[in-house]
Amino acid sequence: MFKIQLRNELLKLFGKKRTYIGFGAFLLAQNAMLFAFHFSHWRERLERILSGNGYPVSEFISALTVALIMLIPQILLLMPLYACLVGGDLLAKEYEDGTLRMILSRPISRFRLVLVKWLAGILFSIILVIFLGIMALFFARLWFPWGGLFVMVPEPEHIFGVFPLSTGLMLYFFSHIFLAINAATMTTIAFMFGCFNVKPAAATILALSFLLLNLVFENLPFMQEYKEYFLIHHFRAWICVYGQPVDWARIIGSVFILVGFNLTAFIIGAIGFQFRDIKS
Amino acid sequence: METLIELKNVSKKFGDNVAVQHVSFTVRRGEIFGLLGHNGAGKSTIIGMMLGQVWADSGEIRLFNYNIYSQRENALKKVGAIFETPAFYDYLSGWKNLEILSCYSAPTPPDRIKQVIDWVGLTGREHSKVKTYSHGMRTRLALAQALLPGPELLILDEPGEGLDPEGIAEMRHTIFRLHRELGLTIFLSSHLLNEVEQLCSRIVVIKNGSLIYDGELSEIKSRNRWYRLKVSNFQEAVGLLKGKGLISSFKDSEILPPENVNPPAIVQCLVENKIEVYEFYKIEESLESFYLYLMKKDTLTSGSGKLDSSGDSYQNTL
Repeated sequence: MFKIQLRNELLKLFGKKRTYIGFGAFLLAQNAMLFAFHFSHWRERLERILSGNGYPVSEFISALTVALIMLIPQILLLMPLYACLVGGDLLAKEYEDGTLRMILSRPISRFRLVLVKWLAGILFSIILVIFLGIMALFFARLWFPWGGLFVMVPEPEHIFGVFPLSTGLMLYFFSHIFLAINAATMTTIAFMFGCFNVKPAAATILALSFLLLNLVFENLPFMQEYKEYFLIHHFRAWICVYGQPVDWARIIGSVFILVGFNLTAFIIGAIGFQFRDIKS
Repeated sequence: METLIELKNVSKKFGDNVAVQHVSFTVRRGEIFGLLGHNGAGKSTIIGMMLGQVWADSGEIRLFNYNIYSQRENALKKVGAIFETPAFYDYLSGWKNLEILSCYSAPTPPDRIKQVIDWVGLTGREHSKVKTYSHGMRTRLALAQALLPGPELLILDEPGEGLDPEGIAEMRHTIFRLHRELGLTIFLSSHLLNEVEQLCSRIVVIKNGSLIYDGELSEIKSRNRWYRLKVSNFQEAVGLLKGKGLISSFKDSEILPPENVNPPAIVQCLVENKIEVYEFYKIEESLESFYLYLMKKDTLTSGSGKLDSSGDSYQNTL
């Protein structure tokens, strides 16, 4: 029964047009970026960096390198927006539309309903990230050849690495596992707010504000020694996969913190939902 | 008879506003039970509490003898509910909506869904998206989702809201069918007094969150002791009847016999005195006039649900 309920939650989620806004926006952004890469001086700058470090330019200006470069702004800007939009909708929109009263006139416990919806949100986040990764690679391949992976993220993680195609693809895959955890966390924050008596838009805005505050505080100069207390620091674990050597302790630590945060946010949301009145 | 719904001294506040206070009543198996009250009286809050959607501040609510809060799943197992504005996933078909909503109760085979769709008369449109449905079709779909788990108790919150006269008549007919063919106990909250009067066997009336009447509808109807009298000469007739002590009061074409008078004696007296009698019958009290009286009266009825005023004083108050 739980599986059927989960399947139906996904059916509801993917039956709505607004669910696809995120997917559409990612596709547009990826193509706009590729267009900019192709016709701007970005390529020359990258060539200078590679040749200056003694790497063959032709091998590393590749679909894989471009796909990864495209991911960074999308993860910073678009992913929080769309993950929070869907997370905020999951319960709050059902309350606003009146369908929640229909569901709660049935013999299902509130906790079970919240759990099913949250898991649907997590699955959505994973699907969004897989889609994002595959489509970035697909579109990049249309404009650039296959080749090795070149990664350079100067601040704050100081990542610089070059990898052959096979290793690069494997790391690209691994980094998406951690990106999925980031997306799930963003969805969970919005979902938690949506469990309380707020409008769906308010849940989304609250979650985005929470993430923005994390970003702002983490970047304040006097907060540098406390940066590990902010989510954004742990969200960057995905890029550490490309470090040489890989700082697994940092990555695993961040994953545990994010998973713990997700569970805490879920429990807060579930408790909030348990004790609220559902009225028309 | 088995009690399906039991509210014991239930109260609820939203902030400083008292929504429901010390409400108690029971609904027995087989009844069509009406919940009446003005806007904001607390009817929807009561239904919300009965379904465990709103937390009561105090008191106890039991459905099928299970506590709605601590034994929610057992309490709601045999309950179907329809709300005033049926809400669905408009972007999905009626069939998909039924599949989704039924999965929160118990596994429902497609045959059962088809059977219920047939019963409510939605066959042929079940695979169309709900956004293409008329208000009447949405109401039928709401009924279908409520019937899917095979309920024994159906809770209807303002089911006639937004329906045209044809739709209201259809709804009434459907409620009767549900009661007769499926043997459902029906709890109905409605503003449509005429519908409640035709449908319900028992009612409770709520005013400002408090219960002000609980009793059989037949009691209300039989409360009135006035008779309609249509004769060849009404003035002459009442003069005669008053002189013989057969009436204690009269107005327009109505008369009120004293309690010890046998009404056929009135007709006999008129006929014997060569006054032609065209009509003579007891006027049934309408629910509307009774309801309006209650709203004005603002006094609690006795525990048994009987009013403390007599029929004639009640009529005179009106």
